[in-house]
Amino acid sequence: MRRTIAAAACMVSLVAGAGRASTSAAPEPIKLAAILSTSGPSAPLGLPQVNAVKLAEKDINAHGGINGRQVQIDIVDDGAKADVAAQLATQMISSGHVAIFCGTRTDTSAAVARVTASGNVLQVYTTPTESLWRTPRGVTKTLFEVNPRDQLEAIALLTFAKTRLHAAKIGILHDENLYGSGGSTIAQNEAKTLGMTIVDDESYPGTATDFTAQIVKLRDAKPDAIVLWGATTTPGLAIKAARSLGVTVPILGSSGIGSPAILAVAGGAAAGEVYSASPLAPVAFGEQKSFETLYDGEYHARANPFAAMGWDAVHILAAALRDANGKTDGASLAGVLETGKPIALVEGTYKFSPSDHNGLVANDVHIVKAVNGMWGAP
Amino acid sequence: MLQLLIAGLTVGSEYALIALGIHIVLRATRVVNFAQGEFAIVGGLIAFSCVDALHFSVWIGLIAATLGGAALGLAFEALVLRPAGRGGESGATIATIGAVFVLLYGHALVPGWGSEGHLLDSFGGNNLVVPVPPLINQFKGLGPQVTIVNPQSLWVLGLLLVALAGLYVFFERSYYGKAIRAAADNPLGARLVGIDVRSARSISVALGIALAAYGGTIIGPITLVGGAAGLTLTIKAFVAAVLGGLDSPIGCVAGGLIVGVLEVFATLTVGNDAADPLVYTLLLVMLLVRPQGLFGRRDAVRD
Repeated sequence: MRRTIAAAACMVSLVAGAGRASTSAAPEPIKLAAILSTSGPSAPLGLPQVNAVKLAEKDINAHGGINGRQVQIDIVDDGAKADVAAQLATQMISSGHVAIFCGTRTDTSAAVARVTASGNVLQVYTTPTESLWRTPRGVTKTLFEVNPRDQLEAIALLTFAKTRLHAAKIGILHDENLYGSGGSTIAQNEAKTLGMTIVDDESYPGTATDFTAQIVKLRDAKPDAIVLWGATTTPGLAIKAARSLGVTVPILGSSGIGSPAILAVAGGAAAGEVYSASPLAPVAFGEQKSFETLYDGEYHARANPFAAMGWDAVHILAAALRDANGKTDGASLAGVLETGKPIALVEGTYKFSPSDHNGLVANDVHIVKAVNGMWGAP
Repeated sequence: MLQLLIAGLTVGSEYALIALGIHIVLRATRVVNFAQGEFAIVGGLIAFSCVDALHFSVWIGLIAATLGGAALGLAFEALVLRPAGRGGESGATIATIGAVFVLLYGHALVPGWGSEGHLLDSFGGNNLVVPVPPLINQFKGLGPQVTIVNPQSLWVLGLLLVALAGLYVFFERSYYGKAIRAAADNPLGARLVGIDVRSARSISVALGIALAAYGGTIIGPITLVGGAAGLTLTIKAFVAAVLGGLDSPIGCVAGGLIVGVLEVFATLTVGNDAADPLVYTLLLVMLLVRPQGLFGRRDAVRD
């Protein structure tokens, strides 16, 4: 008995010693936080982002980390709630996380942006809402957008509608939230720039189950094409309603509708002629191709745009930290990104500047088409 | 026009069934059950699992959802309403608000359910194309010449009538139904004539929740099942019940259909942004002007 205790004590001291030895040999990992919506209505968007964040963490560490230090990314769920996201951001900053990836939704990203701006912490977000960083008071120094902004999407969608579909009259249907109403305003402006007419603009609540009134009004306005600005699975119901009420014109959706789940809800092949703006090319090449291969190897699934955004977000944070000479405050990291050194990633080559915290161009937006319930080449 | 009316009546049917459930639970327990809409969501998900995971027909799914709803109702009465009700009705009402969140976040943890919406199979049939009569066609600006009816809308309206007929027979014609009504209206008197008031209460709650689950299932093929819309449903149904009369089953059904139709026409005329405020303003006006509702008895307000 005494022998066993002695042996156990020996083991404990050995293990404790080993623990101490390892911490003194390797430098502390750099801690990043990912505040994503992995439950709630945006879970279909947030979950692939989580996969991509884990993959990016593994990839960066396998390639020697950031300047010899390993990266540790802590992923937390905001449940699609802005107040929860802001609370989590405060916790993450106070527990030593030097930069934040948040988030999946416009409202959570906006709430966290207030926390990171006042705390001088670098934040990247993945929704295409430009108004978060480009405010009436100027550019928010610490906030960067990793997704072609709404305006680039609107230009790409409407140019496609005009040149390829020969549409002149546009109807708009959008979610009443910040993402949808912002997208609608931008689409209206871009349509005017392109010399197109807006014949109707309708909105729906995020929990909408019936779209009859909106669709009937759109149908009566006789547009050549409908621009649909929304996210989660609800736009699928809108497409389904439009088709069952006899609306046959092409529907062009923002990147928020670019998940296969939306097409399943819309009725698969019955969804008709539907296009979506996508940060991913329908036929992968370059960085996108290597990312898709890596993602498929890890998860045995095709990487969707939301996964690509998660991958790019982490790599942009890493790129900033790599060139910041050990500084981790938001202003220094933002300064590194603003130098405009090209960062070639999945969604395009980002060239940020003090006046452009998006860094992409309209050519980085691809148009994909619904083909038998899947997104493919138009 | 007909198109919008059908859409409104379809959505309204779900409000009606949930409102009716609120009415039955309220009558038996004097508690407004704010979790009623969540039970509709869970009911729809039970049906979804039957179809999607177990490969049963959607009709089996409907039966399973209704029975599942009844079982959940029994558990809800025993575990939430009865213990929380010992401190008075307001305590139990607040407990139902707690139950909303337990059900909302709890259902997302069930494998295969998650927090997003799922599409339930249709109950059958193809789109019906109904020509608009030539007389109406002569007026310009009324839109297309046909009305397209989703067959599920007809199922929803038909199954609403089936549920109402079933409830009428149960409460008005059967011995048990009469006993339950007696127990709700006069617990002491009912006890004196030998009615088990406690079981009557349990059965009422089970029935109310089963109705919500039934409603959540029949509308599933049109909307989606699952997701976070439960509380919105409850509030709309509550507006419906107040509009029609909380103490009147016919009022609850009529109120549900009126709110559904009103919502669709309000979206058409004043737009989506103003439609919800309009519906809730109606609730306030109704409470001020006619608190007993369109079909309620004036003396019921005193309860």
